[in-house]
Amino acid sequence: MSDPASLMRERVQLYKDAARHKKTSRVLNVANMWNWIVYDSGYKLSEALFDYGKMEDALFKFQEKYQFDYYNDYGIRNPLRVQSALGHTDYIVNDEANALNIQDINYMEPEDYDDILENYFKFLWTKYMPRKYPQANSSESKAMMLNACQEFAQFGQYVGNINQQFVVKYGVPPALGFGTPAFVVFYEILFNFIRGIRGLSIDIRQRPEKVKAVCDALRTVSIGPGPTFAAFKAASQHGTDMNRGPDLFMVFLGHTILSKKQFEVYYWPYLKEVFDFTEQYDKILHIFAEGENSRLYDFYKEAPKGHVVIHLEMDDMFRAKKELGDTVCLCGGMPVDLLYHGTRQENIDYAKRLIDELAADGGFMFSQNKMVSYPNDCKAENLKAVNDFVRGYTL
Amino acid sequence: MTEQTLFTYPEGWNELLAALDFLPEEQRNGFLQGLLQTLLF
Repeated sequence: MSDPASLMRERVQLYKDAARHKKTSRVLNVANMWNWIVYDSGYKLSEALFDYGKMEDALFKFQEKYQFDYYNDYGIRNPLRVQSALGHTDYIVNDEANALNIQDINYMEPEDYDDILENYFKFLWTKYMPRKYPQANSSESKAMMLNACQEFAQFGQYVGNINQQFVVKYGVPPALGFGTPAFVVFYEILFNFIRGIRGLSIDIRQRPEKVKAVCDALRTVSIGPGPTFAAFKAASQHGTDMNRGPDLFMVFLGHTILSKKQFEVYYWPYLKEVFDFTEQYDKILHIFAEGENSRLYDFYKEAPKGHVVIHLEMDDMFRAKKELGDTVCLCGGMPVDLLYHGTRQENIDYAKRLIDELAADGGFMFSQNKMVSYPNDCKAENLKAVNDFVRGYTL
Repeated sequence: MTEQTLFTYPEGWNELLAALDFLPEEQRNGFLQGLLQTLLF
């Protein structure tokens, strides 16, 4: 089975079966590979991030070399061209270190919670935009916004095209993160993009009722362009989509600063709504949960069995399997430290242990334990050896 | 005197919508909302 259409069908079915906790013939290999793809291609980060042709070339070469089954991202996560049309981006591109750095941001004042409640897009337009893009807050704003609109349209074409190309050329389904309807609870928007880590940390202590009010009002929204979760749900039909792995995707990052009690307030009610939707509509949700999550397992155990896959970034996967494995399909496990510092054989041995102990009765997808970004996150020869092993290892 | 910018609501918002003549009218509001969601990143 090697033609793209057959591979596509096999990969989709394997995803569904693993998520449903069915025993599969082999384990899927999910690429948690990010800027390291560009590093491995020989392009500078600044070249690939601003040239869709170069990003596409890097991705195609990468897939031909390593043959992953799924990707979290196809160079979509950082749309720097769109932002740069307005004269600013929060990201700092460091070609020497192959690093994309970001500092904590804050484009919101405490009194703005009421404005967000009144009209979120009005807040973004009248307050967020002038603060984040001061160069565009001038007599040139219309020309700059029209330029950003053109860049946004081109970005949309790139997103559609790269997802389609992976299906057609390689039989790899649309990206889990940015080729699938993707959502975050609104707390994440505040944390990552509007209020920032410091500002939000203060607010959940000094004005928790304001934070809770906007979280209750906005609930769960799209990452990037797209409908709210409520609108997505309203347009959904029963049954899982056989043209992709998961039906919807969520990413958790801001949960890393929350206690269990705070998670219950600012996160859980909205996550529970998504869990309930997956069961009611027979959908599959893929969660990328950054950081270490074990204090939140009591919530994750509430996931409806056969409907939720969680990619745990820094967790002890063997412990997670014991505590969550009855309900949640786990994804992850391969340590990037080993991928860089270990020998070829040490890497293969660890990959075998992960599959033997976590996938024997289904409910596991193989992946890297962290977002592989920097040169020291991985060695090409180790990644190639691990992927060759995982692809050929039958259960 | 402050410069006139587009970031007023609904005047500036509607002015930009009117300028998006490469899109059907009924798609312009969703397009602009999608752009703002992308500019958050």
